[in-house]
Amino acid sequence: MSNTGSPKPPRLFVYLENIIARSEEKQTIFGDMDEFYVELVREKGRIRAFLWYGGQILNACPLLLLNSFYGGLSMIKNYLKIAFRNIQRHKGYSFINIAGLALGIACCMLILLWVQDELSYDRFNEKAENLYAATFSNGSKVTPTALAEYLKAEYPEITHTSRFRNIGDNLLKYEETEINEDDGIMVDPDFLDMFTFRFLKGDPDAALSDPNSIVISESLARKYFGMRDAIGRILTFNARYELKVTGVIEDYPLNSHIRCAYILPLAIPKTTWQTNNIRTYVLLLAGTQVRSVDAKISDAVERHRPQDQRVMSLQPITRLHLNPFNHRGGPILYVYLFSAMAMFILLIACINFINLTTAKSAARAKEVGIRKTVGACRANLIRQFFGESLLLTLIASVVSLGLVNLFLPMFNTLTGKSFTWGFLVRQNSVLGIFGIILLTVVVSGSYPALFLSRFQPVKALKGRQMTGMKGALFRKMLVVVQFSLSVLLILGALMVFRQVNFLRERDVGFDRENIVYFGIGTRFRQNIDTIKAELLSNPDILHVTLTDIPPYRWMSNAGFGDVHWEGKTDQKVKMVMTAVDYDYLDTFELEMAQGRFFSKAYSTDASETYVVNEAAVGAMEMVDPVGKELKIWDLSGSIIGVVKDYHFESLHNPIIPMAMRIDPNWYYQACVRIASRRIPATLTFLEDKWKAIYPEYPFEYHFLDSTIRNQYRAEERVGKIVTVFTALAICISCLGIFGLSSYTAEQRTKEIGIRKVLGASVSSVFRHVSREFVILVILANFIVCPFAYFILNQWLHNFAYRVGLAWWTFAMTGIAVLVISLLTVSWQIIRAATANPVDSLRYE
Amino acid sequence: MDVLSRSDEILLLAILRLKDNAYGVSIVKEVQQRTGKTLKLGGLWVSLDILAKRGLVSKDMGDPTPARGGRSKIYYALTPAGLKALERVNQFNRSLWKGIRDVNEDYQV
Repeated sequence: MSNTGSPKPPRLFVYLENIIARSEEKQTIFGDMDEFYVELVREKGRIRAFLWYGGQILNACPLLLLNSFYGGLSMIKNYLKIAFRNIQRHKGYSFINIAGLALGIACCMLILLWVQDELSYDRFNEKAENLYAATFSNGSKVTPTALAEYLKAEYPEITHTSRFRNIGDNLLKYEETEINEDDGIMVDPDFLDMFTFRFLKGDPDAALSDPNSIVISESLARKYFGMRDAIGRILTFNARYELKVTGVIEDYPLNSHIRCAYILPLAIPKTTWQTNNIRTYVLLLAGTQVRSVDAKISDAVERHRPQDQRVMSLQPITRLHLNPFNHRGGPILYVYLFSAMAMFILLIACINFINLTTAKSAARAKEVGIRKTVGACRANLIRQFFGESLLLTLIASVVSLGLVNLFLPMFNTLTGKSFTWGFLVRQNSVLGIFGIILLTVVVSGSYPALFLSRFQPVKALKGRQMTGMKGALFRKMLVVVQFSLSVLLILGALMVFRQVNFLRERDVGFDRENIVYFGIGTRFRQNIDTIKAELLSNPDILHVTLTDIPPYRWMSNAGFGDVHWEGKTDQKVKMVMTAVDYDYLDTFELEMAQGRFFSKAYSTDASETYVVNEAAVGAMEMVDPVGKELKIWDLSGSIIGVVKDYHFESLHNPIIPMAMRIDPNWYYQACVRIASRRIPATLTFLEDKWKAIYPEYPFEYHFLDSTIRNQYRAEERVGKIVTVFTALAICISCLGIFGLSSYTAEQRTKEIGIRKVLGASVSSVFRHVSREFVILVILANFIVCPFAYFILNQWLHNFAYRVGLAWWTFAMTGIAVLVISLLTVSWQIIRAATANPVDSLRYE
Repeated sequence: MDVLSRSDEILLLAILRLKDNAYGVSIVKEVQQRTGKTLKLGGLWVSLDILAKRGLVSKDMGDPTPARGGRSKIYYALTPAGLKALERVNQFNRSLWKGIRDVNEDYQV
C-alpha cells in the first residue's frame, strides 16, 4: 500500500475474483496473477497486461468452479440427507408442502396444455405466416365472389388466392352407405397449394381441376370404401351430383379455424361484386409487409361497389381462431384469463411453501448456527436451502404428473378437447413444464434461502432470534396475497356464472320454446301455401312461417343494406334486411310497437311494404314512422309498422336496425311452432310430410331453444373450468393456512396454557387466536375488491348485455372465504384450546 | 505403480529446483525458462492441488504482501512421496534411454 507507484490490477477483475473464489486458498492464485501483472505492466504496458489478466481469469474460471464442485460433492450428500430427514420428521408439513405444490403444478400443466392448443391453431400450415383472410373493417369475412381473382391479378405481392365456402352437411352416398356428412368445404384449386393438406392418394395439383371431383378425408374414405382404393370411385352428392374421388387427404387437424372432411371445387362464377357471400383467402409473397398490401387493397370492394364503404384489410389466419372478430373478443381473452389463473394457482402454492418453511425456521436456526460456526459461508447455506426447495419441487412434480394423468380424462370432458400424453411430451410442452418447475423452485425457494442463511450464529445458537416480528409480518403479508388471489378467482368464477345464466335466461323478445326449424329448398318454396295448409291440419302444429335465417341464428354483419328514407339528412344508417312471411309475428310471438304487421288482407303488402324494428326507427330518427317511405338497395316500400326490439342475434351483440319484407325468393328456413304436448308424434308427422316432398333427403331439424343455448357453450365451458380451478386454488390456500394455524397453535401452546390457568374459556382462547387469521382474510378482501371490480368490468364489456357487478357478490364472496378459512384453522386452534393446561405447561 | 505424467514431472522438478521459493509465480517462471512453455495460473493451481491431494507435494500458506493485492502465497514443497516419485521417473527415464546417444544416429540401422 505504501508503494503508490506500483500499478493496481483493474477493479473489475478483483470483483470477479471475489465471486469466483471466496476461500483464502484460492485467492492466492489471484495474488500470483497480481504479481505477474505488476511486472507485465512495467515490461509491456497496461493494455497488454490487462488483456493477459483477463485471459488468465477466463482460463481459471471453469477449472476453479469445477474444482469447487468436486469439493462440494460431499456437502451435497449431507444436504440431501438433512433434507430427507426434515421431510420425514415433519410429515404433516411436508405433506402440505408437497400436496400444495403438486396440485399447483398439475393445474399449471393442464392449463398450459389448453393454452398451447389454443395458440397452435392453424400454425401447422407450412405457409401460415403468409396466409391471410380478406376482412372488412367490421370484422366480416364475407366478400364478393369476384374479389379473389381481382386481388391476384391486380397485386403482384399476392401470389395465390382462393375463395372458400363452408357447405356444412351434405348427403354423400356410395352403394348402400348414405350418410349426412358434416364439414364440407368448397374452394378454388389454389387452396390446396396455400393451406397444408397431406395427400395420401391422388395428385394435389389436379385434384380439384375437374368441377365434378371431390377430395375426401382418410376417415371418410374408410367409412365409404373400406379397404378398397377410393380414387376414381363415384360419390353421389345430395342425391343429385355424381362426384369422382380424386384425392384422399389425412384427416384435417382439429386445431384449425377450418373444419374440413371433404373438399369440392367451387363452380360458381367469379364475376359478381354485387353481393358478399364468400370468404377470400390470399397468400402473400414471403417477406411481404402486410401493412403495405393493406394500404393498397383497402378500397378494393368500394371501387366496384361504391355504396360499400367498409375498409378491407388482411387478417392473418393464425389470428382467426383467437381473434375472430378482429377486435378484443374471442378465445384470446380466455387464453389470457387461464394463463393468469395458472400463475395465480402456482403463486398460491409457492406462498404455502415459503410460509411453512419460514415458520419452521426456528427449528432450523440451530442447524444454521452450527453450520456457520464450523465454517459454512452464506453461499453454502443459500445453496442448501435452494436445493431443498428443488428437492421438494421435484417430488411434487412427480406427484403432479400422476395427478395430471389421473385428471386428464376429466379435463378433456371439461374442455371438450382430446389431449393425450403425447401433448405433454411435445417439445414445447416439455419446455413449458421445465419452466414451471424452475419458476416454482425460484419463487418458493428464494425467500427461505435468503432468510434462513442470514441468521447470526451466536443468536441462533442461543435460541433467541428471528421468527421475530419481521418474519411473522412477512408471512402475514403473504397470506393476504394468497387470499386476495383466491378471492379474485372466486369473484371471477361467480361473475362468469352469473353472466352465462343471464345470457341463457334473458328475455330475447320472442318466444323461443317449442320452435322447430329446418332448411327448405325450391320444391317447398314453390308450394308454400299448400304445404302450410297441410302442416297446419295437425292440431299440434300451431304456426308455420318462412324466413331466410331464423332469429338468433343471425351472425353479426350478415349484410348491410344501402338505406334511404323519407326525410333523410346525412345520417349513415346500417340496416339488415330479413325476409319473412305473414305468420312470422304469430310464430315467434313478437309484439308490435306501432302500426300493423304484414297481412294478406292488403295486396300491397306482398311487395311494397316494410316492417322495421324500434332500433331502426331510432337510428333513422323518425318521429312518426308508419307510412314513411324506405328504400334499401333498390327495394322501396312504405313502413306499415314497427315491431318491438327482439334479439335476432346472440346477446354478444346489441340489437341493430332491421327491416322485414315479404320476399319469397329468400325463404330458406321453415320455422314451426308446435304444441308442447305429443312432441315426438308431431315430429314424426313433420318428417312424413318432409319425405313426401323430399324423399331423397333425410329430415333434419333443430329446436330453436337448444340452438340458443349452444350459443353460450363457450362461456358455459369457461365458467366450469374457472370454477374447478378456483376450487383447487381455495383448497391450496386452505392447506396453507391449515399448516400455519397448526404452527401457531404449537408455538403458543404455553401461552394458551397460561391463559387457561388464569381462567380463560375455550371460546375466548379461540377468539383470541383465530383473530389474527380473520383480520388477514378480511384485509385480503378489502385489498382485492377494487382490482376485481376493474378486471371483471373489463370482461363484462365484451357483452352487449351483461349483469351488473352487484355489491352483494363481493360481500358474499368475502363471507364465504372467511367462513372457509375459519373452519380450516378452527380444528387446530380448538385442539390447542381444549388441551389440558397441565400437559402444555408441564415440561417447563 | 503408476508413473508420473510428463506435466507432473515438470512441476515437481520445478519445485525441487526452487527449494524454499516454490510458489505460483516462481514455478511459472522456472518452467518457462527451462521448457519455453508458459503455464496458465488457473490450470497450474488445479494441477498443484491435485498433486497435493495425491500427497506428492505439501502446501504452506505464506504471509500476504502488498505487491499481491494483500493476498498470501502458497509455498509448495516436495513430500517424501514426491521425492520418491521423482526418483522413480528418473530411473524410468534412464532405463528407457539407455544405450541411445543420438535419436537420428541410432535409428539408421
